[in-house]
Amino acid sequence: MTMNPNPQLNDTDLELLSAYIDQLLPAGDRTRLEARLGQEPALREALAELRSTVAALRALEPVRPPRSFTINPATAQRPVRWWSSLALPFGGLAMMLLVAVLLVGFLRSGSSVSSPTVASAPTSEQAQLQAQTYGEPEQATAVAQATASKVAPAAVAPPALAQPAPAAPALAATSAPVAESAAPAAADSQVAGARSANEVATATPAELAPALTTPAISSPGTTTLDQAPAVPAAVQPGPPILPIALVLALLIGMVVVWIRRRKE
Amino acid sequence: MADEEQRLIAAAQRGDVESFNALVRLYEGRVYNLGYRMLGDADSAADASQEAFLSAFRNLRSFRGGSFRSWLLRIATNVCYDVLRARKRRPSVSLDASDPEADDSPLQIPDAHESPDDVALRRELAAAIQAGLAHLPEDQRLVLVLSDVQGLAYEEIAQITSTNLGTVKSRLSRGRARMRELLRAGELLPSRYRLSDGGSWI
Repeated sequence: MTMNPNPQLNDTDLELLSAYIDQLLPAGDRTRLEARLGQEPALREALAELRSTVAALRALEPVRPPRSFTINPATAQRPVRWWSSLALPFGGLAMMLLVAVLLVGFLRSGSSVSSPTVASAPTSEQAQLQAQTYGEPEQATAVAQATASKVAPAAVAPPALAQPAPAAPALAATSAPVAESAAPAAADSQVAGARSANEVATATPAELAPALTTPAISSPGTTTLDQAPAVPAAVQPGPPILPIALVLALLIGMVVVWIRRRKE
Repeated sequence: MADEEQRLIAAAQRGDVESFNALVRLYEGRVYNLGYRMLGDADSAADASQEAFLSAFRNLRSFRGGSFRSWLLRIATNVCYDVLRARKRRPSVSLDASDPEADDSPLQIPDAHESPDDVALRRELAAAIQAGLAHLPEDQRLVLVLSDVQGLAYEEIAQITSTNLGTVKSRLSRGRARMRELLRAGELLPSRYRLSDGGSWI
């Protein structure tokens, strides 16, 4: 590892010798080193050769520059590149976009947490729609069962998806005739829904279907349908990844340009 | 001298290119030599020097007093490191490929009192040192050049390299030890230095 051929010379000794050559060794260290130099020939030889090396370096003649490096006023100005002039405004724009996208994403994810009804509405909607067309409760149950059992396996697999699944009871509750009691009822049914979500996660699809469809049948179907929220837009859970990634990439690019511009 | 330098710096900071060029003429030899010892060839050293002075002019407002020389040499050092980094990415230019002796010879002033043997020895030694520098780690090379070739004090070297005194001492001692080995291996540690310095260790 070390280039030192004298095994008794370590880095500390070399540092002592180096400082000694520069006459920068404190008096105590100098006295101790000189005492060692009197007794250790290898140390003495190392000192002599280091001195020769330093003397050779100091004797190195300066090299004359091939030309002058004075600057021309015309070339001294910083070249303004089109992309560097765009860095600041675009950087600001990118920052605003990022904040906007993050804000929208945050609000969306926040609202989906507070009302899981939205995400799972298609299940109960379809069930109710088909229940209406058949008219008979038994048939409606059968159809709803069929629909729910189609949806259920998909909803059961990941827990994140399984959670919104019991939204059907929540929908049913909000469509109750008494408006004042609707909100607390919805809250209660959400709690119940959360509880049943746990059951859903463990239940088989066959067991799951009646649990999902029962509230749908008990509610006045048309009212529920009329009040059903606009569903498709809310299906996507969490903030959109692609726009955030794009805006972040744009922002990072602009920051890099800005830093490079400052370094120049 | 120092007052004159301060006046030139102040004028250059106001955008006076001629004042800045007066500063360039004061320091271009030192900056070029640093580049030459760090990079190993005349062309790279000239390009790096030009780049360093341009960068200094553009960033002159960030100079807030203290040693202008140290500030300038720090910029030059950074330019050299940039060049060395670029070489590592595209290793087509080798430090060994350059012929320092050939670069040196036309530019150095011959001493009329030197014998041909002395001239030959001096050139051989200069070439060996330049080749040896290329084999040193960059941090050690820089400190060795600033200390032993340019004759700067530890404190100023610490400023230029943005390190502390302990680091400077350590890099210098390692650089000297390694250079000693390289010269010794090539039997280029000159006997006359050994004779003149060998017995005077106290």
